[in-house]
Amino acid sequence: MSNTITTAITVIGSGPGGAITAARLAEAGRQVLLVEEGAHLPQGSVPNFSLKEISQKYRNGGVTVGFGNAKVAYVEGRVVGGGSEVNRGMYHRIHSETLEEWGRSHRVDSLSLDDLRPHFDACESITRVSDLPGVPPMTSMKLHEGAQKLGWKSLQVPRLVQYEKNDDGRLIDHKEAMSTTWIPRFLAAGGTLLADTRVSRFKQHSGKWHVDATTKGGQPLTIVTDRLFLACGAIHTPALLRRSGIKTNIGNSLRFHPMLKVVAQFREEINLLGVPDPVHQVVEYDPKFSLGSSMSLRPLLALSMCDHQEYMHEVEHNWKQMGIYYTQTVGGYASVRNVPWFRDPLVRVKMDESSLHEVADGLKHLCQALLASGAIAIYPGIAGSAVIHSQADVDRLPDVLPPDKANLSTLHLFSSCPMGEDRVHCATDSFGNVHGVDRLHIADASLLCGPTVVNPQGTVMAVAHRNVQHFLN
Amino acid sequence: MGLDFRQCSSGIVGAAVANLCDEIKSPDRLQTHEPLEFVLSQYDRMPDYLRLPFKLIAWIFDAAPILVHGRPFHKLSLATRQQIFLNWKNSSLGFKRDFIRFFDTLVIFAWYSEHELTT
Repeated sequence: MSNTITTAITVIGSGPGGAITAARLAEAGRQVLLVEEGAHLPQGSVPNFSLKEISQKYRNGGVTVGFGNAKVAYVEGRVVGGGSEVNRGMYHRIHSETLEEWGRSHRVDSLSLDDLRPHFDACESITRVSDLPGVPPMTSMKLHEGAQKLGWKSLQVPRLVQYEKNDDGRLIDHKEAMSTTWIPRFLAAGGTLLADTRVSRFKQHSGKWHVDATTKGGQPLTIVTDRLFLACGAIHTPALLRRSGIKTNIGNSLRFHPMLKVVAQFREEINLLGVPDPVHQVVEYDPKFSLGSSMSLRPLLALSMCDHQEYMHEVEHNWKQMGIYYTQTVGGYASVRNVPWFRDPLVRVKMDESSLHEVADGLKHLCQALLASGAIAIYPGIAGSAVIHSQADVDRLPDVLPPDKANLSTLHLFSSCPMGEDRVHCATDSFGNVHGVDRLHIADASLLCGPTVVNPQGTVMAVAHRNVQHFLN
Repeated sequence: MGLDFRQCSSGIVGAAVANLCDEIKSPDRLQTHEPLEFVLSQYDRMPDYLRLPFKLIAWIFDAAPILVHGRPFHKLSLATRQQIFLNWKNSSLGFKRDFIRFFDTLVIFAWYSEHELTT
């Protein structure tokens, strides 16, 4: 027999969009239930990028792939705090040009950078953003130096962390994730958090939403609520809406930032243990593509060398000379659909020739920057590709990325239910209210009208804050 | 013929670890316990619509050597398993490469993660 919970407002999903929406509603005195499929784990319960973190915090253990003419691996957090718990917390405010473009293409009201500024300010006062004090790690500096030699613009990007020196004088960072910022505020304001609970669908009955859910122990649960906010992420929000029979402009326009990684090897040691995460990004070619450096722990290096296993001995013996770098673009289109009789949604990817050309162009520029900073070997994440040692090797790289050989991935997913007044393309109005459906709102990255070019978390937080304030006003 | 997915996976993981150890010239580090457990747990976590086709390919992979070698993959010698593993890894057919890549990436990540903990 199903248990029943009755509440005024239910927010489904506790990532950046859901946590901020729920906290602001609770702080405004509303009765709010926040439902999360994953567990409520303390920050630092497991090491970053470890086997345990993958098991505990990643949806489907990170084995999630979009299929199509190219395969694109993606990861989503499934834990209280959502993606903010598993990402590196690189932080940007979105460019005004991107917002202006969204305003034109989707007819979004009141979405200029001036409109969003108070919401960025409000979010950043809770989820604090820090510049790295002191000298960045060598893996990061190498990319920066290469870009500088070529005259390209390279920035040190702030992160959603608080830096602190430990007893050994070593700099450590504390992540400013939702579980340490907005979720505690939500709970302090009297909100109720229901973790380990999966929502399968919802329907309207007698003027209320009836939400079908299952708790961790398999116990069915019905949530009866006046108002529903969906914040399950850019894949699971449209999947839940479609399972619930709401399909207009839902899940047709998923966008993402395709990323291709390389491993670069230098003569000197650059990859030292116990240093902070890399912070540089080369933005010379924004919005076409950007270049960056990644965490380069040895298991991650080995994973990135999977396409070049004949050189795995380099990881074994010279891993301190190696770092992981990436190019990230804005191309790529996808849809989200449920598969009959199955629980998990299917993501179908389309990378057209210009998208593949952009990634290939980004790869060439990344290799150029790394060679300029002294890389002696670059191993691209393309099956069967040659190792790059010189500019002549870069010139031989394909102009269009081979979609069946490239190991593309993405950390940034959005736009599956875009907002705006253009009812032909948009799922919600300019403030996240689902078109044609009363008391149903979307409050996550699904709303964004296209690629953010920069890391989307800041924009997701600011837009969620803007929309919930609009609702409360 | 039924498929014992654990046995089949164990055979593949053994071949993947042996390949890795050949590449890094460390024949004494053929530990497969942690990678095998990780592979099996990741199989359980993968999207549900992928599990059935994945298991079907695993069945084909395990059964195919019977025609040539007279026994399923998981009962072959390590050297023969390594050879078959590499044949699939370098195949022109995408589904073969993808199947092996699933094992290869998880094994490499788990093997190095375990190695980091013990060194």
